[in-house]
Amino acid sequence: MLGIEHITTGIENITAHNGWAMAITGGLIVFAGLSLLSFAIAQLHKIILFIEKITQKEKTNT
Amino acid sequence: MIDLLIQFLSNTGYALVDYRNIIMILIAFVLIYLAVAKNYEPLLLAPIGFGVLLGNIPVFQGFGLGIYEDNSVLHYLYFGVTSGIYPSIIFLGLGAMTDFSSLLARPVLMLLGAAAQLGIFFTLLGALAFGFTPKEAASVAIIGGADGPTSIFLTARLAPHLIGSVAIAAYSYMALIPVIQPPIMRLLTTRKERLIRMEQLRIVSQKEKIIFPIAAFLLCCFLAPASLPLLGPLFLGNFFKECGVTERLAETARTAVINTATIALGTLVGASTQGDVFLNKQSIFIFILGAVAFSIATGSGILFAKFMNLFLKSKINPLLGAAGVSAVPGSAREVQVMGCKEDKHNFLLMHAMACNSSGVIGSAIGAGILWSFMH
Repeated sequence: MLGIEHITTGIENITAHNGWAMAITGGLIVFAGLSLLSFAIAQLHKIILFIEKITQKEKTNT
Repeated sequence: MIDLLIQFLSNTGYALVDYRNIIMILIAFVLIYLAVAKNYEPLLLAPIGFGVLLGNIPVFQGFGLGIYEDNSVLHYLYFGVTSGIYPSIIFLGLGAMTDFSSLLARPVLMLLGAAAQLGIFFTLLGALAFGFTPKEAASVAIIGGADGPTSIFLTARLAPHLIGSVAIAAYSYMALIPVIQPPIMRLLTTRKERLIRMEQLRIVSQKEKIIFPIAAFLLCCFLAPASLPLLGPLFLGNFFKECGVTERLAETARTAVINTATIALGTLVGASTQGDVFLNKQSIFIFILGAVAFSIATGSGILFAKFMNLFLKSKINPLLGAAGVSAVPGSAREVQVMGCKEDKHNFLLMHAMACNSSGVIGSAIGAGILWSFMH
């Protein structure tokens, strides 16, 4: 807070420290990460069911 | 003998006391009052409040007593805070306590946890506008995640001189959830929206519960490796809980381990708020920005739930958005209370816990991202 001599406050300070890019990119990465996780866990029970079906088929074949 | 007596008296706390120590002791009384009389987050505010008392006993410099003196006991214990050890241990216990079944049953609720993290990034802008350096701004912004250990972890990495203010602000706002969140919830939702009933959650298989911590750990930490010190222990603790063969480890993590770390973290963070270090303009700004961060996080969660309702067939009660902040289980409880006020038979708690737990993951990812941005 004390280290900035030429620009100290306001929108200029945000721009000077690349704040807009950090905020937008950061928000997007969190959103992307949790969306990906949400999608993955939504498929999880379907994948487990699919694997169980295959293993059951194999069992009945043998 | 009189010289000895005078020397002794001049080294007592009564002689060395400063007005700033008195102010901090009064603040400690408020925190202890909130914990004991109002039952606001007592497990956090009681150790922090007593810690503030501990840190504000005026001590003679050079005795090795103060937390900022190299050779003091408190300083050695404080290393667990500044190095991020205690937050990681708390996450281990938190993982061993958390049941992710409601999240697994309705994964779409995870997006509300993501939306609530916008408070962090809005506050980053606010803190920069207030003149904080980027590292300080990131430390202040993480208060918007409403997660004490995450806030302390990131601040210890980026701006250790702000740990006291950030931690007290984060924990105070978490304790004040019943005061801060309800007006925002009422303001941003209509009665009709508050009456929306959520579908019954499906039963989640044990296999899903076992696979989830491993899959989530890999997905999240490959995306944001800097969140490893928080998400690693979180998912490890949850794996202990769910795998069925390490119950002893899970039991230890969710009782003795987390309790020890909570006592140490709370007390030492409180003790770090020595009047001469804590009472300054920066702390006031941090408290203002913390309140803004918390409010924006709550608001963005609610507004995103309303936005999702534009596309969903089975509507979501927008109150759940408020539980997207990671204050477990305070904000989920508040959503349940608010929902029940409108309709006694509307049970939102389990759905709110899903948003809450995704908020914990989201704020840890947010902290990792901010940390990596600052390198």
